[in-house]
Amino acid sequence: MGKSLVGMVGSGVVLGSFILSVMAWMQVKESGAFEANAFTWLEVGSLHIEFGFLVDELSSLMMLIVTGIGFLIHVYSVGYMHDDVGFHKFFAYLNLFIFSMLLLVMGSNYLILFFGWEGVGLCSYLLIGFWYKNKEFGKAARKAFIMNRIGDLGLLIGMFMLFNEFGSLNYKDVLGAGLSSSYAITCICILFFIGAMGKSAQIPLYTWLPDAMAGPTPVSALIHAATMVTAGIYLVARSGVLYTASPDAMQLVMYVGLATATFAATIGLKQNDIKKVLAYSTVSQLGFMFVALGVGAYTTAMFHVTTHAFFKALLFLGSGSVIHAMGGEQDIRKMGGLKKYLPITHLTFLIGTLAIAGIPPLAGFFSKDEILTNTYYGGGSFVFIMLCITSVLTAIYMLRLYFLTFRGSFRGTREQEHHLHESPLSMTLPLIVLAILSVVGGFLGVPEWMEHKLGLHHTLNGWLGNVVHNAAHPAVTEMFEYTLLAVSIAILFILALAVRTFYISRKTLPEPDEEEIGIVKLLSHKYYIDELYDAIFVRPIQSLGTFLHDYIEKPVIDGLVNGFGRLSKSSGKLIRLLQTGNTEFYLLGMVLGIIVIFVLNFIM
Amino acid sequence: MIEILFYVLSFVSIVTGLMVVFAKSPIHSVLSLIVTFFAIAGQYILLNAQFLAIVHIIVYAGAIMVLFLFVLMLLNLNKEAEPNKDIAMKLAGVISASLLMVTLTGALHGSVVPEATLAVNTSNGLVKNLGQVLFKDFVVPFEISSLLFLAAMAGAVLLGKKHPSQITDSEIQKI
Amino acid sequence: MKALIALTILAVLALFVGLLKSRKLLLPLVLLGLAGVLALVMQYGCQCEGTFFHQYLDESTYRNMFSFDKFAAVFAGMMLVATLLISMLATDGFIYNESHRPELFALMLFSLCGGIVMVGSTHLVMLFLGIEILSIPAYVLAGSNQRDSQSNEAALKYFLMGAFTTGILLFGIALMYGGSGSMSLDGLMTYSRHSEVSGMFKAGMLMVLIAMCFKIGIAPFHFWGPDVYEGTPSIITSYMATVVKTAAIAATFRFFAQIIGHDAAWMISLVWMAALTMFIGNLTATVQSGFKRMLAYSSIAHAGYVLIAFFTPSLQATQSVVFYLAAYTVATIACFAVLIGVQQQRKNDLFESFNGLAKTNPLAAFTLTLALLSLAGIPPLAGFFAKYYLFSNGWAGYPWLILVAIINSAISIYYYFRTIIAMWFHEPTDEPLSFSMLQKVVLLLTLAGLFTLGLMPGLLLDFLG
Repeated sequence: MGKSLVGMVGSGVVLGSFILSVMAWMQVKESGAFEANAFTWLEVGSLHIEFGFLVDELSSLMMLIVTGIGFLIHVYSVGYMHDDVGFHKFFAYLNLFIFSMLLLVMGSNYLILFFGWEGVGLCSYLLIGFWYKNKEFGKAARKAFIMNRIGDLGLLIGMFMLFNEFGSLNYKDVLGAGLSSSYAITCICILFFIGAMGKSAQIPLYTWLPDAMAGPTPVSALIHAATMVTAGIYLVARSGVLYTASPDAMQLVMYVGLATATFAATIGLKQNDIKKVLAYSTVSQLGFMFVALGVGAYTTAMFHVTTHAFFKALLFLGSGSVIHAMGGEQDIRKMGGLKKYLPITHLTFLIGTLAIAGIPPLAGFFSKDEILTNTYYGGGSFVFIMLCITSVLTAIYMLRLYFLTFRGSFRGTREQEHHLHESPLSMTLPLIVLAILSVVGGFLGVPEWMEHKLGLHHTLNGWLGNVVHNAAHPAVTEMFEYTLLAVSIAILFILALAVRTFYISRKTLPEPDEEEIGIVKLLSHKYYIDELYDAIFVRPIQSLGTFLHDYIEKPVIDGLVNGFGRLSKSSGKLIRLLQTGNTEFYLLGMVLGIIVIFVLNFIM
Repeated sequence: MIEILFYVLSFVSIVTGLMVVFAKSPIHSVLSLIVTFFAIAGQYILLNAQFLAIVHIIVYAGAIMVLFLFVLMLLNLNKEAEPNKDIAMKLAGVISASLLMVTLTGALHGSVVPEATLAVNTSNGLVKNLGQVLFKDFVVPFEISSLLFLAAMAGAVLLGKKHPSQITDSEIQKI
Repeated sequence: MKALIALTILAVLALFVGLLKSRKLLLPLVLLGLAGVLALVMQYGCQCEGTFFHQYLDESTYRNMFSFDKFAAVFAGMMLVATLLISMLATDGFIYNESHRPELFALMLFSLCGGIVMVGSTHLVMLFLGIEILSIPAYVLAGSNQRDSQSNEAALKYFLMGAFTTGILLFGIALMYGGSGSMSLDGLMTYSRHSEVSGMFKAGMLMVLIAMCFKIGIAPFHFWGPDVYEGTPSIITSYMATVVKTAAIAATFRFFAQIIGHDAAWMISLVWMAALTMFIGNLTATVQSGFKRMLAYSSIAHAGYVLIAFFTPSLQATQSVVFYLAAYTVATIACFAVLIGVQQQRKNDLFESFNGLAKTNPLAAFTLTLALLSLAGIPPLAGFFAKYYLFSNGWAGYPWLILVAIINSAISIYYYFRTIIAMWFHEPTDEPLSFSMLQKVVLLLTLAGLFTLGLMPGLLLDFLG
């Protein structure tokens, strides 16, 4: 098949599923959630699992995000991957990913969710290591795979406990039951959260996500920013009833989310790889979502999932467009002044930056504002203040990224400068669509105080309220909202000026790697977490493995196994002697068999 | 009277049956077998199953045995053609067969034949009644057995047909 | 019954096509015909609601002789699918007797008719007829490669021992009738449950059981298996290992799970036979040097596993038998599909002949690997779930037998992996094999079957109710 046909088919089927998702959404809107059981998947003893699908408000929202953003990224990939030899394979993987992701969000029980969960994990592994000829990329793929498996183990054990507790894995049976707080439920929630940590890159299982940027940029956008990493959020939101019953688990979710958000944001300040900055920003934003989940604002978390999917996909695709133009260069120290070469990319990237920084009335403002106001009452002042600081850090690193990349003068080689060009339409069109979504997406969930003034409603809350129930918090005062709004605009304005002055007017550049000192070095090396993990987990396990191999496996296990093998082989040889090939002998054997049977039954 | 006949016929059939096995010459074996068949046909008559007896004689003693004789004579089998059997094997065969007989006798010894069997209509063996049973209760197996014969014929044709000489490719020996 | 008539007509048509010398028509005719019959059976099977066994369903029409209930429909469907797949291999499989292709097909179809009679029979006379219709063409087919002395030897051995067993079977049937005064399944059931069972009936029962064990290949009545399987042309072996075995197991299951299922005293000899069969099959398979003979022993071992379901008769046990045989059939056909190619082009079936197949013929190697893994019972393939259902249902009966089965499954991994290792870790020693289009289709179909049954066992189990 020709490349254009592959691209067309690959994107076409996703478009088709998007249209179907819209239809499903309309049906849900019309007549509520519906469930469909394809067939009984497994039935062993008391374990009865239907291969069934549940489409309700929550899953149809995820379906729209997955197929909608997925379609745009497919279109984008047609342009981005055009010269790659693995073009066909790439689309096959992407489509497999969309399939698995849909399975994940559409399943009507935890086992199907797990099936999709493993499927997206597999796709993620395949796509991170897509350019597998590069050894480092292969390592990154393995790292992602292993870290995700640790999380999956948590999810799996959680599922076992859930089954033990409720006797079913169906959402309907588990989440419909009236729950009272219990030790088991707290355990299940924590185990599920461990699963979510792996998939959604939270401390301590976050280090795979920045490395996952080894994959092609559309993959980073689709899997590692917009959809797959939000599976953890979906899992927690879907299990909201369980979490509500366990305040301890919610506290854990909130604090881990907060730590991740802040921690990743500080690392993001000093990264020089355009995709790494976005990767840490993703980790940080996921932290925001978990904080929202932790204070019981499930719909808010899903709201941020939605808006984040818009602007983060936009930013990643924009960075892809930049990398495309730069001929593969990803270091922002070698960019600058790209504004005039890549006008569309620049404009859309700017919109994305402002959206994530939280400038009203862009999408990021609404969702982040909602998280902050929820935290104010739900999480206490410490969490609130930390989160505010993190929001400021977000704005700083994003503005730094923007200014270094698009403003000032070009710092790359002459050859690169000559090569600079705007990307083809198949790449810019998704950027434009995503930019529009990033602008208007926030109006899905306007805050309460604006509802009357704008005559709009918090559509998403009302919509998702049928599935998950937020913890009740007192409504914040209008005064608080105004203050927050004014302060945030002021801070952002000041920040923009400051960052501009620092990097553009004074032409300060991030120092080369070897000249970094002190805290800068610490940040740019990501707090040496990878090295730490290597020292405390990887090496001891490796040496333990060597030890077991040399002293336990070879002499003991191998000896046992081989002994067993020899035993069965020699007895096999003995029995084989019976197989003489002589028919009379066989008949004799049969007659003796008959005699023994008769003796057994009649004489004994 | 019937009892005496029964024992005589049984004795004859067992003795000739043994002769079938022990006779050196295949011709003697076949001839003994014919006598056995007649003795068994006699048993049928004692059971009031005349039709079965007649068919038994016509088909087995008549057709099949004649076929056997033909084959034997065509192949010209004689004493020398009989392969020599291992003495140990023979002994083992005899012992195991006797053991089987003992165990079977032990198993069947004293077992009561239920009323239901004894009460079976003894006139069933008459042609008229047999026809009734065969074409009413047993019509399905009767029809199905035609399938068996069809299959057996097709098989016999396959085995009997001469291999056409056009396939000389001795390479395709074993698949 | 309609399916049976259609199948007979198909066999006769195949013979006539041979007469017309229009060879090209033959394979499409057989494939389409089988597919048609399969559709008929499936349509019937979907209509049967509820339980597996309907003893009295066809009393008016068939005089309680034959009941094409759900149980029969499922097994008939399975055998038809197996025959369909095997027929697709026939382009290369029947090459040894090119001139008699129509007769070979016809005999296979006749034999299949016998299988269907067997699985539907509810009367000892029908059971006997079914067995004979199944076996007689099989004897001939075993010897259909007349120029190969091994094939002739196999046919003769098979026939002699089969005849011996038929004698035992008839003796047993006579004793059962003498004991109970009935030959139909429901009559036997009523007799065995309500009255003091006479020794004559018991002895007859054991003899019928022994004869059936011979057909299935249960130790110590398995001796014919390896010799006959090895000497017989591979395509016929694949038929015997799947269809013949399925029919024998299904018929035995229908008769014995229902009659003796409630009486522990009957079972004890069968339990020991099951354990013995597993050990003999698996242990001897480990020391074979040929792939085909290894498969023969492994098929004996698998029959041993299936017996586990006989000791805890229930709906689940029936389901597990169906599922196990389906998984076994699919995997075995995949093995034979590759084996036929290897034997034809390498002239032997030694494990060395499979060296490097992964490099030269990836599809064949991949399918064979998965088929062997499935036979070994490795998840997530069909064989794993089959074993899992079988063992978990059988635990209530004789736990020690399950342990024996698990130990044996572990042993079986050894010999299944020999071929896998040869294919993947040894360098190719010969040029690539060529597989025909139909063979590749069979490989793909079996591959799909292994995965579908393994990942979505519910599909089949749902159908089984």
